[in-house]
Amino acid sequence: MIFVNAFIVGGIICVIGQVLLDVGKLTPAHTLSTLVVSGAVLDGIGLYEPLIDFAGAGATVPITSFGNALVHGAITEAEQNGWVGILTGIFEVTSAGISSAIIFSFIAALLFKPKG
Amino acid sequence: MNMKKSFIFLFIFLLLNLGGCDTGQKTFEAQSADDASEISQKVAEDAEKTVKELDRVDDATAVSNKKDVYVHLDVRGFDRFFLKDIRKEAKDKLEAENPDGTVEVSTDKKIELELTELKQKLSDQEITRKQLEDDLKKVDKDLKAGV
Amino acid sequence: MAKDSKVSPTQRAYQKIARKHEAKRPVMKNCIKAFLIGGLVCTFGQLVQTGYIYYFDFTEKTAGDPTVATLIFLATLLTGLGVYDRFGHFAGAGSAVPVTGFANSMASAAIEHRTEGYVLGVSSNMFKLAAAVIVFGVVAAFFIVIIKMTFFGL
Repeated sequence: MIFVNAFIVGGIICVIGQVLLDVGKLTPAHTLSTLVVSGAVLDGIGLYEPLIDFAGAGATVPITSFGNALVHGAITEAEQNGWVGILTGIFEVTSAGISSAIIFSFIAALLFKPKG
Repeated sequence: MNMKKSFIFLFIFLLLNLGGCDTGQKTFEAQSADDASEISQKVAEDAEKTVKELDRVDDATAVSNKKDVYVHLDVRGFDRFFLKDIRKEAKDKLEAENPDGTVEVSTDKKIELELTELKQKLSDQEITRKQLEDDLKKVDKDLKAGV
Repeated sequence: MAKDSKVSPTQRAYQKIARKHEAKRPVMKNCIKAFLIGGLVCTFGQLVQTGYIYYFDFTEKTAGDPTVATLIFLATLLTGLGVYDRFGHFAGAGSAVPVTGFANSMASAAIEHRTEGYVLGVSSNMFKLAAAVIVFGVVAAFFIVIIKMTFFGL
């Protein structure tokens, strides 16, 4: 079922990240940046959406989907509004993610104390 | 004398009115019963059969209103990599067989839930044509929503 | 490691021994942990998404937003409670790669720099890790879409 697909595909993407960290000896920032760009490239080729169709959250939860969403939003806006759509559409889909990360992080800083 | 006449008059009046109500009631019932039972789903049933013939489609759920039909495809396994393709294939096939009405195809889980619920209401004859049209408008909106 | 022909045989022998005693990363073990934890996080995400489809008025397409927001909320909460970092240490990429890791990096940076004030501390440091992700994502997306539009139409 979709839960099995989500588990496996999500797991595989994380393993790719782990290999970049351990074997490639990249920093977490480098690793995540690589994954995001990969997601963007895959959507450019049109391969990421089918992966989402197959694996559901297994493809939308990893950070690669962030790259996919950026490209997707840009393409959708560009299709409707021409070249300027690239700029107006980039953050369209990812708006929920970025906004909530900023807002909740700020609230967390208001409420929680650093530990250790 | 006047009292008696009034009584008879009242009696006849009531008799006529109640009789009239009865007839009215029957007509009203017949209308709504007709309405609910006559929402034929022949177009939907044909659509389901057509679409299930496709290799990659495992199951289908369809609801129709006159000549317009909304179909959900159930695709499982590795075929899910080709959902966009499969949707197009199904839509083309259905439009060829149903050129007079609109055809909408979806693989969205929510649409499956909504169509299944509608199918149940239709088979239980608990829905009027007006309600069906309203519900299908919602299905249409959900189908076209999102980026 | 450049091949230095000036290295004497003893030095080369020493290098060989030193390499053997280098702290080895248990790559296989890490990968298995990353697979399991990453898989679980994604499966949980799938559960949340399915919940939004069944119990709320979201479709598969529109349920992505509330799902991501929920996961980020939970990750931020767990970060604030100190739980996420412990689990992140164990899971490696399994906790860093999902969007929860992104949220954790922002929340933990924000909390850590609380003492420096909200303008100079919290807000200025929040994007320590996230900045690279966002900048590279946006720049990559920009070029990818331009290439796609120029050479392939849309």
